[in-house]
Amino acid sequence: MRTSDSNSPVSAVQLQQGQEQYAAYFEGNSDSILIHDDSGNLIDANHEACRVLGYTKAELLQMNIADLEAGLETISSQKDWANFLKSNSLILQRDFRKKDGSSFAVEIHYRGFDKNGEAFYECTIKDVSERNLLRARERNRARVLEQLAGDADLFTVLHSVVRSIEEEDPTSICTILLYDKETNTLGTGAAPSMPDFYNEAIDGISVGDGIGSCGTAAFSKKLVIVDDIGTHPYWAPFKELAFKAGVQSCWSQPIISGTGDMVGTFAIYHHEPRTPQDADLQRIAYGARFANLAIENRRIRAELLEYKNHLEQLVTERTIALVHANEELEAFSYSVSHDLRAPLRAIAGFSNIMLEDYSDKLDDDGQKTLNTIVSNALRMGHLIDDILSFSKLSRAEKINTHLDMKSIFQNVFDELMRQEPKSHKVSFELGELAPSNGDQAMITQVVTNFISNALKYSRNTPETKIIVSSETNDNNTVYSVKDNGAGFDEKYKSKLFKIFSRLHNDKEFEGTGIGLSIVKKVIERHGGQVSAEGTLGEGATFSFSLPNA
Amino acid sequence: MNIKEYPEVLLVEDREEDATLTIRALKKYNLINDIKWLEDGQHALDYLFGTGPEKVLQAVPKLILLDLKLPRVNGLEVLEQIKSSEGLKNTPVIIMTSSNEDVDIKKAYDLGVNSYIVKPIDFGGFAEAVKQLGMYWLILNQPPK
Repeated sequence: MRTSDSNSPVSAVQLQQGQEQYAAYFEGNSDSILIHDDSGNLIDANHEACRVLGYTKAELLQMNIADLEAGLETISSQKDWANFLKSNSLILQRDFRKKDGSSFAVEIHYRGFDKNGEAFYECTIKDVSERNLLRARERNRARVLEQLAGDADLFTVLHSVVRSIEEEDPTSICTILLYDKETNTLGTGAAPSMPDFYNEAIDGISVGDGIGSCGTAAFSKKLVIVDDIGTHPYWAPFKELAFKAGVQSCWSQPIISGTGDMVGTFAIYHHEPRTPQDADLQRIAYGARFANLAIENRRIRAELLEYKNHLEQLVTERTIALVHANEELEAFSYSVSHDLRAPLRAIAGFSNIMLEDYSDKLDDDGQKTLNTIVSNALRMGHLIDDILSFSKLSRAEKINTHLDMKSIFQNVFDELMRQEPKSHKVSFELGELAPSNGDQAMITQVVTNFISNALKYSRNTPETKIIVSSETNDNNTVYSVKDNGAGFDEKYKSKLFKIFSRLHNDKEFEGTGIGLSIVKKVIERHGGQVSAEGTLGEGATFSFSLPNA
Repeated sequence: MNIKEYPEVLLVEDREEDATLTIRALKKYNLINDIKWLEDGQHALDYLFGTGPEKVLQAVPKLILLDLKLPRVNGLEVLEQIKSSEGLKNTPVIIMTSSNEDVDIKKAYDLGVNSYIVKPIDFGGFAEAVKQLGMYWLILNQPPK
């Protein structure tokens, strides 16, 4: 492994550093530094290295770098050295064992240098166990979160939590017990490394002072440390069971929810009596928090699911109620259409018989009275018809098709003009209308209403002029019908589209006050809007919009 | 066969007023001499099928005017029995009703009704409707022998 190339960085390092400067750098460094020779024998170690590893300098100088390695790998793998020789810089990840036997993860930064023609290696050793732990936790947390995001049940998630904490200390066994408030007992949540007989025996143990580590922790809501099961009074009744399962220490941390409720316990067991170190205490607290996260999440998920089911059931119930109400409404309108019409027909019919058969016995007043009866019966008939078509509209299914708006307007106008008195002169100006989409029958009804209104309210205008146009905007197309008829007072505009509201009396213009409310209903069902502008005595413009396809 | 001398028209209508108006209109235009008026569906079936207490065997009118909403047996049920009877199925049946419900109209046609007329409220319209149907079914139309 010696390098004899005088241009290599090895000699450059040596040249750059004077002896004194290097000594200051060596001892003053906050990282552990070891120097070994070509064979790996240690020839120097700084104070920090001695402190961290737990050996005296003298002890270390008797050792080889390979003696410090806890793992099976050795530093001098061919590949690592090949890289090193290329760049004179090498970083290795290793596990080192301290004098006390405990191991920790290190990152070794290698630098080679040449001294009196011999190659030496400077190893700066950084303790990366903390960093590795955090990384592992991050990884494990991500896995559990993924499970939580999916459909995994609570026990599967808790299993992962336990496994991830056990991974941090492979000599430990972790368990999670879940608290049952009703029975004040603890049941197995996850204990994959415990034998089944142990889990079955522990399942359902009572919560109480002095009942094992977990029962006591759940009772006191405080961390319970039993470092020797064999001698601790809490474990007296369970001692044999614990020994059979091969555990001799048990530390138990209560899991407490964000709202302060007892949720369960998180426990760490070891195969031999053991007192927790800082890292252990930190780990058990972390385990309990991690378990709580999973338990809370599943609880909320279960609640949401229950709420969702409740809502679905509610929707079903409401739907049934609505269907029922709708059926009742249908039955009602059916009887309205049948039962209310019949007496009206009788009133009108028999009044007519009276007029036909007894006209010689009736004077003008009598005849006029009977005519009033007839015309009111007819008016009520129209009202019933309009109310029915209004309620039918809400029930009717909307069937969307392409609508040739121009021909709809033209056909409606032609049809209405056939019923119009010959004396009524009308000029009809129909622009190029944009086509649309909607229910043919419903939109035809709207158009019929607009055109018949234009005709009706311009009946007293000598030269009636009706102009139909359309304007396409970004989102919709507006169709307008303009007339030069009676118009209306803008003051009452808000009443125009309200059911039963009228701006004229029957003597001026007959009507039931339902037509425009039908229009509004139809257009709103199509996702459009209705509007009107008018000037009393000068005419009105009624418009409806339909969304663009 | 003891077939009763049948009337030209059988009118099944529970409302006396409507019956009076119908009969008046038919008579006014000299469309009929003879009309039998029954007030409910069961009566109509008994009369037509000879199952009633009157012990009348089958009666076959030229035309049956049938209301929908009838006591006991409704118009659609009467229609169904008429149209599934060998002896009566060719007799024209006209529904005359106040109901313009689409379901009723569809059902009536499914059962084989010959016409469906919604009775107008105004007497002029009503009389005109009765006149037209009388003219068509009693005079213009050629039934099978």
